[in-house]
Amino acid sequence: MVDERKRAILTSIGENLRIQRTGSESDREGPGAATMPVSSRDADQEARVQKFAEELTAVGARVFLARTREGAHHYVKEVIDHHRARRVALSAAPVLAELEIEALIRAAHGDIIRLPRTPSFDELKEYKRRLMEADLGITGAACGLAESGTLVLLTSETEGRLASLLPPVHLAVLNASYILPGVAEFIAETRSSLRSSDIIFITGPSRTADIELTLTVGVHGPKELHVVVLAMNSE
Amino acid sequence: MEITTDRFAENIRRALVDESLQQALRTATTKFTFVRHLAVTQMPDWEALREQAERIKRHAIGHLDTLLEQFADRITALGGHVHWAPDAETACQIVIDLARRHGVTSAVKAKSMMAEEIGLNEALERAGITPVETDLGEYIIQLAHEPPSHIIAPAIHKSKRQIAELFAEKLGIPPTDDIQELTAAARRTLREKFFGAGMGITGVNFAVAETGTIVLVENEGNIRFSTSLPPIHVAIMGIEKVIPRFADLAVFMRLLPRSATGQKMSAYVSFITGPRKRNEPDGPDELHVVIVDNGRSAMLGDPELRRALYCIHCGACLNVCPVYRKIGGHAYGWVYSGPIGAIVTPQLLGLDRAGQLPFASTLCGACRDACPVRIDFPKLLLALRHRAHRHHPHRRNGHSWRERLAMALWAFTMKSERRYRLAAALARRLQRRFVSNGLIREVPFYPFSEWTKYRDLPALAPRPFRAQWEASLKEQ
Repeated sequence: MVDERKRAILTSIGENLRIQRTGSESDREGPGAATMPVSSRDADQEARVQKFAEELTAVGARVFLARTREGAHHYVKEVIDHHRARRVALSAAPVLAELEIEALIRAAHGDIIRLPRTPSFDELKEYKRRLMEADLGITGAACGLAESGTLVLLTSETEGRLASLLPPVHLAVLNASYILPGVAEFIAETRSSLRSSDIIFITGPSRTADIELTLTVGVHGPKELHVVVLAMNSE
Repeated sequence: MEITTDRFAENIRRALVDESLQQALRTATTKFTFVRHLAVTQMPDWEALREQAERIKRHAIGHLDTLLEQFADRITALGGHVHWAPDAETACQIVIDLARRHGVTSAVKAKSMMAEEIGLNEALERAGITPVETDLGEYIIQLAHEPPSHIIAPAIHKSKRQIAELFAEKLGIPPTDDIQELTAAARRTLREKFFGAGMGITGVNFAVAETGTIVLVENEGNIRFSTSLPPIHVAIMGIEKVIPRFADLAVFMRLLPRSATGQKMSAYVSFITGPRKRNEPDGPDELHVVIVDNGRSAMLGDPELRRALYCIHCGACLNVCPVYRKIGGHAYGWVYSGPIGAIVTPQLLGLDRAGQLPFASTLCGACRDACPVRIDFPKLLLALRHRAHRHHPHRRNGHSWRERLAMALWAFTMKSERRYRLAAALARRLQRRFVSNGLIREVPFYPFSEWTKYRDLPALAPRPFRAQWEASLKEQ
């Protein structure tokens, strides 16, 4: 049955395409070069970080450039305190462990909602329920895109889809050296390594203009987005 | 949804006298056109990108059969499921069967033109499954039982006051004019729906044959919710959504947000490659992709008209179209409106039902210039008009024998320089008694009366351009 439908559609496509094959051959030519020329990676990284921060700020996110570990800690602590975050979803991204974010949350007497590991159906359901009540979600980010001020999250063992989506505030920690010029460069580099079931591009907080074209943030996803860019070894 | 393409003229008349719609259209289309213009002018390689996009689409549509098969194979290899639907009914039935098999009683939906096209909501409701629209604009019009009026902003025809009344009635919140509060009310209500839903249904912006990746572009986050929270994700796509390579996304990711909303990047973009991997903490256990034909493969037979399938649904052609800006989306009588609707709808529904749509254009070409994949709208509109003409030889599109005679005479005159000069000289003499201030306001006889019924006709200059030109050459 399913194969029949598949064959019906593919046959119809093939037959209709053949009708004109004698006429113009142009539709059968190649798709052309795949990407625009990719800019070199060693272009001024500092300028790229600036551009990233500028663009992301322009779409309503807050970007903090951390030159020291203490600076990063201080900013994260401020976000926790400001929102009186008692329940914090924390992804297992290595950069967060390395920064010892967990200790920071504990010091602020916060509960930590951890990513489940190969959860059963019920465990996953329980995780979602707890995430619903989270005040803050803290995740890593695989890279940033300077051109548009975009964060890229790759789902993996240590990064999920929901911790950056359900809590009203999302804080991401990103290494400055992973900021690429733009989406074209990212795509050129990931082409062959699609190991994540979801590559998530985040450019600012959740937004809508569906009522009278008035921009409103936080319609479904986070109302606030904070990005801590770690630029500690720049000198 | 109810199809009203055959009542096009009536729809237009109704839209033109709807003052609040006219106001909304003016604001929305002006704003969208402006932000798009800003975004595009900041891109030095914009034209090169468009050219590349067109080339990729031309290749993709020309190789649709092999690319679709490749895409389907990749999805299957990733652990997803592919379903093929030759028509709307089958597509709806596939989703209903899936829902029943998993005991799903409510499904969250993220904006999908294909779901509108196949009438999925109505079909689900009839089967006892509650579909909940989750895009704010879509949610509003679902509550109001209205179809979308714009690809990008489906509820632009409603004012905040109307929405406040609607929410007060349906959600039981105190009436408010505060847009922030209205949005917050929708957020609260929809959160519960997301959690209760057994299934998330989305459309597809791009489907990559090489990797089996599905790309979804949005601003609100409701698509991410729909693809991440429920245990089953169902993505519905037309056959034309497939593109060959992952690398091609570099082109479309830069074109689509700028064309649609003037953003460098939409707030959220998801590249979904298969269901949740075993080591990943969250995401759906099952991914189902429904590939829908519903009349598209028949469009491929004409090498000119098939170009309508390049469309990436950005809505740029709507915003710049002088006709859309006056009559809005509903007038077009079906899911697709504006210039793209005028070339897609007659092909999908047939010229009998939608043959009037291609005539609703001034052929100014603003749509062609705005289109990120360079669809040559005027050319396609003309081709369709020609078809409509041939399709109804007896009616000649309602043209009378007088009109045909007038056109034949016109053609005869224009084909020779002598006849043209003679006719012009004659017309210059005869027009005198009708001209005032350089305009002809009313001519009582055919065919000119048809024109002056609605508008003035500029009078011929007392001395033809050619005579003026020759005189000025002599002076030098």
